[in-house]
Amino acid sequence: MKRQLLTSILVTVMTLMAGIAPAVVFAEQKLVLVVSSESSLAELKPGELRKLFMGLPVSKQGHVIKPLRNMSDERLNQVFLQKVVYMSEGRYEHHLIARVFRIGGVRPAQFESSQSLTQALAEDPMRVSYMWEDDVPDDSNLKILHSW
Amino acid sequence: MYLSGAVSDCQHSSIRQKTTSQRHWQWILLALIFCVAGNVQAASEGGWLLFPQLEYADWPADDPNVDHGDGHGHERGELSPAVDVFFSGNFNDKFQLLFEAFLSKDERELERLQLGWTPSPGNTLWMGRVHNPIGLWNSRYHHGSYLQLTISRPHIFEFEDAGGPLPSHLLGFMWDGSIASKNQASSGWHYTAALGLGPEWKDEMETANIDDVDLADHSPTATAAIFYKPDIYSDSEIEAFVSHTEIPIVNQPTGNIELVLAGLSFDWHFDALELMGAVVAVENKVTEGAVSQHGRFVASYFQAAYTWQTELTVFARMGTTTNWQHDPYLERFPAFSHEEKVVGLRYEISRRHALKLEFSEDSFHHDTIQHTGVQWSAYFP
Repeated sequence: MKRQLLTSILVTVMTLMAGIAPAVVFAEQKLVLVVSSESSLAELKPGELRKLFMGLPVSKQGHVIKPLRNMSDERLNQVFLQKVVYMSEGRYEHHLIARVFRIGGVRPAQFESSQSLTQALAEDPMRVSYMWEDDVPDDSNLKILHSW
Repeated sequence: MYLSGAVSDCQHSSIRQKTTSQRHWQWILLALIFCVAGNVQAASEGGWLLFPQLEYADWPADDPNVDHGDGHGHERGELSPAVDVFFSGNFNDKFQLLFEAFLSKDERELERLQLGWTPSPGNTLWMGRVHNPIGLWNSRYHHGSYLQLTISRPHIFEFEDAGGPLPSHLLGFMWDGSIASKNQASSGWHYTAALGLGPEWKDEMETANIDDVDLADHSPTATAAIFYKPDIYSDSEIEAFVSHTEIPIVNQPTGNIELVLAGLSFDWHFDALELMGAVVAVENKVTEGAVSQHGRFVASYFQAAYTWQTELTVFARMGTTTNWQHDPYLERFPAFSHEEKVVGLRYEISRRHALKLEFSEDSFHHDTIQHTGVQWSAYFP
């Protein structure tokens, strides 16, 4: 009797866990590289992309490409640092500061909201940024150059 | 052990006080730059950086009237706040503005004011007051204390007003260039060529300033440097440089100092271990009236640092100078420490704040002092 009760409780708990589990697993989000839909940029190789976000000059078709950092989501920022820059945030920031202090130029502009980032991208076809694929607005003037 | 030095209080005060003339024009110019920079920021791309620091230094001193300092320009037993204000901006990808001013209790100096033209990415012609590209320490850190690992600078690259014998600024033109900088390249060569007005000698070495430059009191300085980075994403780098400087002695019509420098400087990273160093050979000729004296010395330093968990770093540095005893040029720098030994710790309190503790022993012409320093440094934003 006692054994049957224990089994019933166990089965109930397992069934409940099985039902809840899919809800707590995060949907896999894809990091995508975005530009204005009017941009003539078709491809950026990983080396060029890393160079760009490290503050080094990268140009295509005679135009300087400008990187924009998406700071609207901490997890997005961490994934970007892992997949593109290959550096910890502290080391990355230090590198950018040291470079600007030594030879001038500017650090990549930072955007705290997706809306202002989307607007900035639409204003200049040579601006490049990244976001979650799900966050690319359907009706926006953005195009995806690359996804990870 | 502190022994009585040969330098008078009068000389010491001249070492510490950078500015002898009132630089009102400098501050008017600064205000203008702030306005222009503000507009640049609004219209194009640019950003401010602040590098604040708070420092405490102490060393034993038997006779406070006879003191050449610690060889690094610190005030003994005092808390010294300072801030380096920096701006860098771009106009239409072709033109740049760079501004840096250092403000402390004793010093308000326009460090850099540069206008740049970038005909192609990675190549810029600068005009204005620039850092003389002699050695990685001078090119990279300057007054950005947070950026350098240690509190003190190596003796040979110490600032002029703290006893350093090498000219760290010039007023003129500088070309920064890249060699074969292809988009996919992972290593790189860069070079810098600078030509401009060097320092003058008025009781001490004084660099050319934008607001009070008198062409008759300054002579040309030329420097060329080449840099190699095996990996453009790392801080490892090696630099070779040569420089020629003429320093007119202002109160003597025929007085002149000629300096020829050649040097090698490196910074190499092996994971958590960083090795840094430089060797600089200096040939000099000091002419006063009909008498000319020649001198030659070699100064070098070597620094090793090891970092644990990206937060705690322990470092040690040794520096030495040959033929310093009767060098006619070095005799003019009583605050120059010809030999140094430094050990210390750096702790990253957070991503933008560092705490440093340093113990050093510096040898001067007639004595040696042991020095302790503590510094908080940071950058914003």
